[in-house]
Amino acid sequence: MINLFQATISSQPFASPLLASPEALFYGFLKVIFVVGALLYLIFAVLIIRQVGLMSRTIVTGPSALLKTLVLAHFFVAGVVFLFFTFIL
Amino acid sequence: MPEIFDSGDLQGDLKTKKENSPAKVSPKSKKEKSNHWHRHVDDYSNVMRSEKATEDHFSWYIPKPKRMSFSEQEQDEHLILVLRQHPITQLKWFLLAVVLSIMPFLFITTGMFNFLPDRFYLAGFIGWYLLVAGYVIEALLKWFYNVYIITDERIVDVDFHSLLSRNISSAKIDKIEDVTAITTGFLAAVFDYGKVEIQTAAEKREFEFGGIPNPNRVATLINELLLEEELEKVEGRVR
Repeated sequence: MINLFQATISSQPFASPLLASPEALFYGFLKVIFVVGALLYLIFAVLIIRQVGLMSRTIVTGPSALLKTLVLAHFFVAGVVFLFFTFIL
Repeated sequence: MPEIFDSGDLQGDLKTKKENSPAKVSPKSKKEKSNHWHRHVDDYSNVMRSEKATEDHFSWYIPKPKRMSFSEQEQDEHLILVLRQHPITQLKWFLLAVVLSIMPFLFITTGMFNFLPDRFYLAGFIGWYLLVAGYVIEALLKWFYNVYIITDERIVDVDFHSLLSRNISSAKIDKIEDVTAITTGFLAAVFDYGKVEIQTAAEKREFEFGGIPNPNRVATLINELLLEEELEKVEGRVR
């Protein structure tokens, strides 16, 4: 039984090129880290937008509009980076 | 009501609050009433008399701010002084951001990550600077929105400790028992910033306006407001 299992394993070619070499495995792992990091950052960017909403409702002041634009731009950049890490990296 | 207080002309939440207020008075009668109850801050404060009303909301010392209000502001309440921490107290995060911005270039020089393909190198660069940008934005927002407000009725401390957490504490001027201005250290002496400790008989016993510019002027102003409040009581002008 064990021999049969070992034979099956050894005769099977690797299903994914990612597993073909340790190098490809490492870069695959690195990509996952980048994508997860970018996703977490995107969530952080959303939280900042909500935070500015709360802050500008608390203190009504002229530059709030400017700060809102800044955090929206930040969210947009975070989104683009997430897409870059997911699809191009 | 003196024209200098444009903060009475509020926007957003406060406007809604005003519209929903059950006791509506005509503008004229409201004006007459305000004149009767409150003197203009320039009439009793030497500190504020020399200050001009300002619209520069990015400043850290904003006397008689125009077009500025806060969510808990009452109908006849006027902003006298809005304070933020002195920029020199923000030097720590600013320098850290500068160091973090330089770090990738140090990595290039040392060649630590030369084994990585170009695309990961680029991704690392972008990710790093995005993190630095997030750090700077967060610190900037905290500095901008963590304010100390002095109105003709009370002192207010607005704190945003972390993402989505807000703490607004206030004390009526007439509850203030003791005001102390403290300046310690070389930088504080050079740039004239420090803290003002305010002991009150209110629910929150002690307020600390930390790292603010001109602490002595602020303490003097609070004392002047306290005196005016006493005078209002004596003259029967208390609301």
